[in-house]
Amino acid sequence: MDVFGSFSLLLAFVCAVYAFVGGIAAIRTRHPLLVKSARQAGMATCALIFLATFCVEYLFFTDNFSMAYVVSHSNRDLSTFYKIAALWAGQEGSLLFWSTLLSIYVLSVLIAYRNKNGELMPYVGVVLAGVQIFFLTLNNFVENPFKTLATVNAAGVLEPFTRLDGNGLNPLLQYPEMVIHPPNLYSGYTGFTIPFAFALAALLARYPGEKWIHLTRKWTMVAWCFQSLGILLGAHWAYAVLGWGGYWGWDPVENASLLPWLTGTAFLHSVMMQEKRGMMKVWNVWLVFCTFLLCILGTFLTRSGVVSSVHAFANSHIGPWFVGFICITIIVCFVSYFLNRDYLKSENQLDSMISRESSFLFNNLLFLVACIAVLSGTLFPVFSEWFTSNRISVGAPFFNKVMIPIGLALLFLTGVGPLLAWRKTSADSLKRNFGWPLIVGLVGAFILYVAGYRDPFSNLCLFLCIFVFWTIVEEFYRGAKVIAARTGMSMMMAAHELSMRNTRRYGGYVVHFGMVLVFVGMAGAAFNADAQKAMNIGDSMKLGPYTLLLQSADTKVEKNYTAQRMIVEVLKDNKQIMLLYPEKRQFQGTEQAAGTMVAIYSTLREDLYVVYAGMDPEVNVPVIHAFLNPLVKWIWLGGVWVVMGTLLALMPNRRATLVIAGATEAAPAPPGTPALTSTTTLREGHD
Amino acid sequence: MTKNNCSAGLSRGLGGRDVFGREARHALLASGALAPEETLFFPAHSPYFTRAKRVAFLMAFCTLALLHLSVLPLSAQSPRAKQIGMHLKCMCRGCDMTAGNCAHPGGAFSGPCDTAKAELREVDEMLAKNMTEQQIIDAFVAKYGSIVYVEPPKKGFGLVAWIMPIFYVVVGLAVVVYVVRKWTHRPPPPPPVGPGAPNETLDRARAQVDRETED
Repeated sequence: MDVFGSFSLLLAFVCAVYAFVGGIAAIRTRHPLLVKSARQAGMATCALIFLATFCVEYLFFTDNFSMAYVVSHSNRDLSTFYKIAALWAGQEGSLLFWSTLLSIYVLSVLIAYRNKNGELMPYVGVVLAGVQIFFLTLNNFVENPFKTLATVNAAGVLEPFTRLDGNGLNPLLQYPEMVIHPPNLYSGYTGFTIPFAFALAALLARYPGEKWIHLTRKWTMVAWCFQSLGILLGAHWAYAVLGWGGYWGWDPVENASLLPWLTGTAFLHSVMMQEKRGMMKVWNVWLVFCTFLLCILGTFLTRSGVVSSVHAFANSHIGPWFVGFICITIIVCFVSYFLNRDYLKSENQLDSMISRESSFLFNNLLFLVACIAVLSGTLFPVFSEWFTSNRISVGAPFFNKVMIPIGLALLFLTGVGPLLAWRKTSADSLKRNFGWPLIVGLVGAFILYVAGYRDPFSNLCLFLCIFVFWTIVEEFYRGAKVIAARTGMSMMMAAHELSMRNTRRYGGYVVHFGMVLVFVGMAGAAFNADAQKAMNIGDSMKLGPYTLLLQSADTKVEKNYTAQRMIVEVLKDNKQIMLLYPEKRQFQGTEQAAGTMVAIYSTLREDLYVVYAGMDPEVNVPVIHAFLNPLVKWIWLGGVWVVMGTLLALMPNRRATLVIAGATEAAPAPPGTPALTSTTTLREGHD
Repeated sequence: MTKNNCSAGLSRGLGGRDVFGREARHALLASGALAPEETLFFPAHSPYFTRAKRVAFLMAFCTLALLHLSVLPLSAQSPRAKQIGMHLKCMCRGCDMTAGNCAHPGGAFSGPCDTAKAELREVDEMLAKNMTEQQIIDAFVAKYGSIVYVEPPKKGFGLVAWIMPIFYVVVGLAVVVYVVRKWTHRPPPPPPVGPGAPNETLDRARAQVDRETED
């Protein structure tokens, strides 16, 4: 199976090269058969990559311990669930997984548009094949997952060698989120390749109009949704497994995943400028180029460890490859831009500073500033070492200080932007749209202040959250009222109907609402508290309104690990609320590494987060570390809304059904009664 | 137990943050948990290095280490030292956290590691000598170099880190203001000329009105 997998990987490389070269030839000669053969080579590449991935999984499932990769990341007792995840536990497998996910996108694009956009698709195919060639080069020649173990026998000859059991999966990865977090994040990273390929292709082909934006809108949203979900799942994993009480530590790898998300979000907004007003064409093209480059950079930072440590770079083989690929991509982007820049001429003019257009400009400004600030902060230790031969570390406090104001400004725009009119907004409409949200926000902030939540940034954040929330509520209310009046529907039904008629706009609002919840959750971090104590059985400690009593401890033996479990009774006002079971897991095959299982009592108000830190090495008494983290649950709830909003925005618009005035009693009549209802297209929506 | 406790285990960039990274592998290698191709010539399951012996060795090492370390339980860290510790990096080079909140994820003991504790003890000693927070931080920088900073210092090259975001905002705002001014003064596109022009202009205007009144 390993030979089979290895061969299909090599064949995939050959097919990708053919798709690339053949595609260029097809563009030059415009020969239809050549176009077709290049496209089919592209499809074959994808199929062969799937086959190779299947082989790796097969080797994991059959416990083939002659394979170096299987030995390093699995053992016999590992559960099936985690054997799937073992694919992306190491360098070689995750790069293969990158190729696989990219192939899913590539195959979908090639199949979906096989008979459409004849002018554009050969170019798209070539760009996609180019990206695939790079990753297949890594898969085949640099980090091949199909390496077998070998040992030197008595005669001094190398011979194959099979281990009895593997080393097991990294304990930190043996957690459900780790099975779904990397696929999500990687789907985000790879997904931005599609808009990139279309943008570059449209530029190269001088493809007229805004077609590429229409074509890629949904692909971009899918990638964005995966990226958002991946980031949030990663945060949740860090929160639930690492046991340091937080969800975001501004670690280089986390930052790397945030960068393309920031530019991708900017792109999702700025394309509206081009669609509606024919502006910012150059900007959009560059924004999508940057997003793709940041995805590659993110993969590079994650995989090579250039930022985490100076030494990791020397250890990694793949650093120079990534640098090379990024340089080539930048050159290709620049050259194609300079050759074809006259095709990206803006059409319209701007009428006023207070307009939807300028709010989009500020939105983009803030996202870009956020992105560059995070990027330069992440790379600052490297720079400081270059310039002063002295490494200055940049930790979480720096990023918090820089990013909180930017984040709050973005939150403010989330509320204001969508309610400004295109072209020009009158003072009257400003008053009408923002009067109530401002009042409600101020009242809410005042109540929170009186209730004891007193922290300047946090209060400002909560004020803005309420403000934005109210603008969204008013938007739905205004639209629904019109529909309810016309059709006689209830307000809830009318709001649903409204969302379905213009899914993109109202889906966007739902995403904004999700982000508001995320911000509420983050505002809670200002009031975090924690306590740590070495506790004997029967000892207790106080944290906020809770008292933790260490009742007893036990040991549980599972197939793959042994867990030491503390049984902690939680009391509030001298009443028992529940028992918490924080654990420390010792996995088989690993000596020192242990997994922490945090026990969390989560409410909307706060999380009581209890960690069993292990035996204090000095006094040999169990140490319990408890955190009180207000509002954290809101972040995960926000994530759910973000995904729901994106799904709504991906749905096609429903056409409006207009009920003739005076026939209100006929409102609940089933659709398709032509005598009473006439189907009229009110608005085509955005699509 | 000195640094051994710190470097062993999956310690790299907040423990699991770099779980895919090579350093985690190296940490594992060092701890003997991972035996890839390179170590096959000295297999981990060789009869000369059994688990019992390893544990015995570790225990002996710990006892020796304990003998010459002043033993202080957790409660001995003063809140003030912990507070100052938040501005100092834990120098075990394994966890990437601050000395004040070192939780050392992934290790056998995910509480403050010995390096962090030693740092806090040092801070306590300095506090006893009536040193100010700034003096303590300076003393640590003198000892470990600028890597001990949690956030860049607001002097020297570290100041660049703080100026950069402000610089981006200023430049970005200047660009946006420039673009807005330029675009507001841009003349409207000239009407097309030719036989079908009036209709075409009207269609374009209609299309534009449609687009702009959508929302």
